[in-house]
Amino acid sequence: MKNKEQAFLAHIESNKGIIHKICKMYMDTADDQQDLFQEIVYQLWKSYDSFQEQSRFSTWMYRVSLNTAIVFFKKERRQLETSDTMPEHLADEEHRTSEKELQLYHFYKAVQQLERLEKALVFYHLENYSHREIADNLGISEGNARVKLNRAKTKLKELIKLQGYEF
Amino acid sequence: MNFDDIQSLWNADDGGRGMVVPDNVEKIKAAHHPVDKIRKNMRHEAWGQLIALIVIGLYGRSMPTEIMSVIYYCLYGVMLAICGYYAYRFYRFYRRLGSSVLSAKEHLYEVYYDIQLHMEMYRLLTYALMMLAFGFVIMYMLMKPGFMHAAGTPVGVWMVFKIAAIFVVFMVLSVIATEVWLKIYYGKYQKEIKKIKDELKEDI
Repeated sequence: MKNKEQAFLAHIESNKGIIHKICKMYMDTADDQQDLFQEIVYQLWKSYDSFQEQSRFSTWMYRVSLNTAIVFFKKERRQLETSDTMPEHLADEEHRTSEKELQLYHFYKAVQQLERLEKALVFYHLENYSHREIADNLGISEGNARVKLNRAKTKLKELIKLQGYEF
Repeated sequence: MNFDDIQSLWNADDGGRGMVVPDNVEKIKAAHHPVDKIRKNMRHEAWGQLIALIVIGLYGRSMPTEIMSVIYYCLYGVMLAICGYYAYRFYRFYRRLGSSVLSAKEHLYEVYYDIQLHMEMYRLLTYALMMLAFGFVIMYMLMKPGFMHAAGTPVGVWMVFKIAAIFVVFMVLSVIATEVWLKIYYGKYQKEIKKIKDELKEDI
């Protein structure tokens, strides 16, 4: 049991970056992202027995993580804390650490406005999944995945433009 | 701007800063998944029902006559049988609920129908107990000292109307209370899941 737990936590440690990316796509505040991160790790642990060593850990992890994120409801007390203002360190030109950081801010802010399934489509696409693989993971037809993905990409670009930002 | 820019931005993001992975899975206490919230509610409801059954069982000792106590405990026995049956069904349902590695669509359908099934079971239990409560009220009225003595005397239309009105109001209030309870605790999740589920519909 202890070995299993340690193996699991080692997997999570080496994949925490990608889990955090999912959290940032689905939640807009740091507290909600932390809550979702905890929830995903909890759901991954609950499902760990279903992980087959012969398949890639990331494939299994993406599926459980996105299933969790799609149906995750943030704590109601935090719903009013959403802010449209840019964090101070990004708004202030002098303290801006890098252009990349500002781009990431605009990217995630735009992604957060997509529908829950559109976020999953964009995620799989950015992780270089084919239309066939995206369709399999979402349980829809390949044609439907292609149409929805194109629509989500267009919407994402428009949302970034609406923020008055261009890469 | 094109999507290649976004792709390179995505690849450059290391993501993991600030996230702390616990050194022990016991430290992870999360329950925001709708199915887990149902499990949590079910645990609370199970305790509430158990306490209610004990209180109702003890109340039977204070019946004014022996015959009323006998009938009361007969009805209580039926109530225990109904509660026992539903407790078993809820327990099986509770054990079955869990995280899955299905596709997003299958997962959404599973969560949606799990919530629906739970709501229907809850509804059935409440209405079964409501009928039992009616039975008890009728028994109480019939067995009340003096009622049988007055059984031969004509009953006024106004009295019949009052009794019928009390039953109807009680029934309507119970139905409203049940539906409000279901809506507050489960309906909001179901509505949200349905909305996401509908996003998956083919639109080619």
